[in-house]
Amino acid sequence: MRIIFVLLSVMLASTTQAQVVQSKGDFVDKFRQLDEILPTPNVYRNAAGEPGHAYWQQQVDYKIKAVLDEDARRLSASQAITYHNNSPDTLKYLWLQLDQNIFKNDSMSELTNTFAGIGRRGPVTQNSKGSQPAKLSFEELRRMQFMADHELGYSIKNVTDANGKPLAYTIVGTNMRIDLSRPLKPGQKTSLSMEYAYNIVEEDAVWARSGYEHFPDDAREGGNDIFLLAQWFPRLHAYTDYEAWTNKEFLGRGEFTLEFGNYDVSMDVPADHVVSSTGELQNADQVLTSTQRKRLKEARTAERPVFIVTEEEALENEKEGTAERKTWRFKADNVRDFAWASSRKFMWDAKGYQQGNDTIMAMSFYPKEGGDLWKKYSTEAVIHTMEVYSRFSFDYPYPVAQSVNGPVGGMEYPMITFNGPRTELQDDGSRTYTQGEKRFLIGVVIHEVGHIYFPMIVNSDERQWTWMDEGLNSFLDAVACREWDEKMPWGVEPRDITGYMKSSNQVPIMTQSDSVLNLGPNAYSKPTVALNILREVVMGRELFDFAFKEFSQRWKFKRPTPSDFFRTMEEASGVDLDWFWRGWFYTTDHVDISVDNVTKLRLDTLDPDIDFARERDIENAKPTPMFYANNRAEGRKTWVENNPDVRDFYDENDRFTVTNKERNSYQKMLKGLKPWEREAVTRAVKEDKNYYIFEFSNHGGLVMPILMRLSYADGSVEDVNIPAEVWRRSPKEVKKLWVTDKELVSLEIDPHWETADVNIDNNHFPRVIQPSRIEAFKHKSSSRSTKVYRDIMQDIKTELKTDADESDAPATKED
Amino acid sequence: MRFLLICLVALFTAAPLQAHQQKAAFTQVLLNERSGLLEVSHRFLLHDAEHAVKQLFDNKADIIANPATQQRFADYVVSRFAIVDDVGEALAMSFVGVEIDRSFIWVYQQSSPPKTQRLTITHKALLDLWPGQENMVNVEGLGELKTLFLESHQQSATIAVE
Repeated sequence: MRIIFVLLSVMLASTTQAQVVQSKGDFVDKFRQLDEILPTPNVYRNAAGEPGHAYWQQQVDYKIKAVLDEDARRLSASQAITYHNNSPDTLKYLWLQLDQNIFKNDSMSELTNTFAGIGRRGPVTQNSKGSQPAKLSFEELRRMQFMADHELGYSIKNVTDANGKPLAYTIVGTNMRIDLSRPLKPGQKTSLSMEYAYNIVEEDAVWARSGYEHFPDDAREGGNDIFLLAQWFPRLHAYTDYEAWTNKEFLGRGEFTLEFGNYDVSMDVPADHVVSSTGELQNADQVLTSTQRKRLKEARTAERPVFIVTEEEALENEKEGTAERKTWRFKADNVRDFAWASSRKFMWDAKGYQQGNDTIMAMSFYPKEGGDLWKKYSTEAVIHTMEVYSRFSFDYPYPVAQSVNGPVGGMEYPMITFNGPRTELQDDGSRTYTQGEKRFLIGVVIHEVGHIYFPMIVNSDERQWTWMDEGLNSFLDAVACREWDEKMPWGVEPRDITGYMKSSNQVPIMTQSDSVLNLGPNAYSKPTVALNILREVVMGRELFDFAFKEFSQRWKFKRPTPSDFFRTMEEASGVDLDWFWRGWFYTTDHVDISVDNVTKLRLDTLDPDIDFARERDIENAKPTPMFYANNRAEGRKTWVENNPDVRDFYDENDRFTVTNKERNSYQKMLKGLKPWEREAVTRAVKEDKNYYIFEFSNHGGLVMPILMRLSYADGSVEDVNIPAEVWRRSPKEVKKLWVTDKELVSLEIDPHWETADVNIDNNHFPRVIQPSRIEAFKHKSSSRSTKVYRDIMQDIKTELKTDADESDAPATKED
Repeated sequence: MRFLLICLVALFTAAPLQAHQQKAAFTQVLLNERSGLLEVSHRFLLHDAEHAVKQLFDNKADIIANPATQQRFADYVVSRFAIVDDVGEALAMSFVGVEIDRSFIWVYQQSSPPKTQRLTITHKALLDLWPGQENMVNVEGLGELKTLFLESHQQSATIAVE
């Protein structure tokens, strides 16, 4: 045994050493292709970043009957699953995700949720320090008590195959393995069914992505709830070509990856509830009134959203409950998940979005607490998102797109999103909202509806790579937000992330979701800025947009990995981007390019009549030594001045005087040149251009294009972009020759702050003092007495004075 | 076994969990070579500050429109930020100003440079207000750049500077 072990260790060690290493000197190949980093292309994912010729993915269909017990806040359901094995492998068991089990007291998530620990999800706790006691927030107490008082997680029973025969299963935390009665061969499908139930968590108490919210102050005795049901049924884990079963334990941060399939779901809810759901409503006749159905029809072609359930009707609804029940039935084809919401508090508006010959119903569901903010903007923002995202990717492929207000700040599912912004109830009974809340609503609806494209259709693996959906989606939501209203400060500018980029706790974007530090800057802002830089600086909009659209269309309804994105962007644009992915996604380098020096050169013409005269000019341009100046000031004369009668040849000729000796030698040299050499010299002498050498150094490690702004003595300005490849053989410093007719006055790099350069102090030659943020603020403050701080609303009432007024007015009076 | 007192702190109604980025503040502590001053620039997301002032002051507080609310928010931030040197003395910070720039609100402070080579920086702003707040502090111009990552459980940290 021992010998085997030793041999094994040696093999592992040599595998680690198999990478290509620069083992002499300090050269770093920033442009090394991602050979060792990207997985080897294969028949499932080819080298172009496309699905390969043997690409496959599983399909899972669900038929679910759910019952919502409002009083007990409990969901019970039975489901039949049909699993299609399209893989080339034979499967002996299936893995399912039991996300509700994350709320069990002994879940890995709960057990590893450190008290006052780093990156903790959930309420505030604080360690004791010195004389300060440890702190526990009311929220933490509420969470602990809620979890102690409620039995959380799934209770599962009757797991059977198609013939009703019980199937063995094993629950491992948030995962469940069901052993099939016989191995499922490639191309075969199998059916199974199960019953399950769980107590719904109170979202505000437990910090979940779904749950109920209680409104104790509603007119109805005992109040009302909004139920958001997501991660609510045992869902099949994805089985993939790159990871097999994606059954990594759910720890709360890394979200989900799932299979596409068809859903047929019935929800049995209190009869006065309104249900919003993934999919298309199948039984409008049974659950909607004829008036509501008529309104829905009107909404299809309406200019502005039409109320299906008005505010008055919703208010009436929330006053009292009912013991009666209704069953809503929805079907959804080709979706990777299914979520729904149910409440008697919902008003409901809708408007048709015409996409070619299709009408997609954009709809919003919200309580009175959403108010005018929701009435005006939610549904319109849903439509705006589809317009912009479709331009960058593909037509929206589903019949509905919805935005639902509830306790969740923002979360996405196929065809349905949960969004949190609300209005404030004022003392006079009105509901108002701030500018910030308005931005938040529009921004969050765009962001979450954007997620219906990424990752709900372009089905990336959120459990592994948060940036693949959040980064791509944040990049596009910034486009959509900016196209909503230029006056709103949307989007992430490169300069917003320089603090993060240069910080010592940056981690590579290519980090597994549960391990990322600073999730916001890492998985949202930095990828957004990186993609913006690709689009606006490195590739240009035409190439970027083509490649991005190609990626979206290649992977629509399929499962891309990061390498598929990297490869497609490169392959479709014809731009080598390995250096960019390496620097921005696989390292923690930052951008800090410095222009260190500019040297002016002049061509040596070899013609003595030109060169000697120039040398004389240079000599004469030097300052006179102070000795002579001071002597002159004292009135002291030189011997030569005092003796004008003694002169010779050298008083008329200096050392720059040209003789025929030099001229003959020049002519001889010219004769000795080859014709093309003579032509080149003659032309260069005639053009007499200026030659400059620019010296740049790279302090941040990230290689980037050098964006130069050249300012000339004639007042003109020229912008020139040097591609990043300039750094390929000397990544730390590089010199660039610049030839121009003009006289250069100054050189600035990255004048528009497009590259996230963390230090602009070294971006100018000659150096320009860059005020610090505080210095700039102080400067602004000192000039505040002027324009911005005038009370124009008052001053505008001032009457214009005429000369006559002036003479009438008392001399000392001022307005 | 040591018994510690656990103190129940009256915090505020917590905002719900976001699937998108929020609650991240950034502070730069910079020794300005030209002026010789230690400059502190705090950057908060305006939307975070907007919710914070409603919880901290009153429900109608409007940080976008009302300069007085901006000032109150700045006072709050200043009161929760400190740099303490080796001998336990806090640097005397003077308030420079507050401004809104795009989707951020900035609060500025300055002081004389520190005299010792170990500094304890505390940045509690918003940390006790809601879960998930992350305050990142970059210390620049005092030797190699150092980053502090402060959260509710760790509201201060000590670093060596040059």
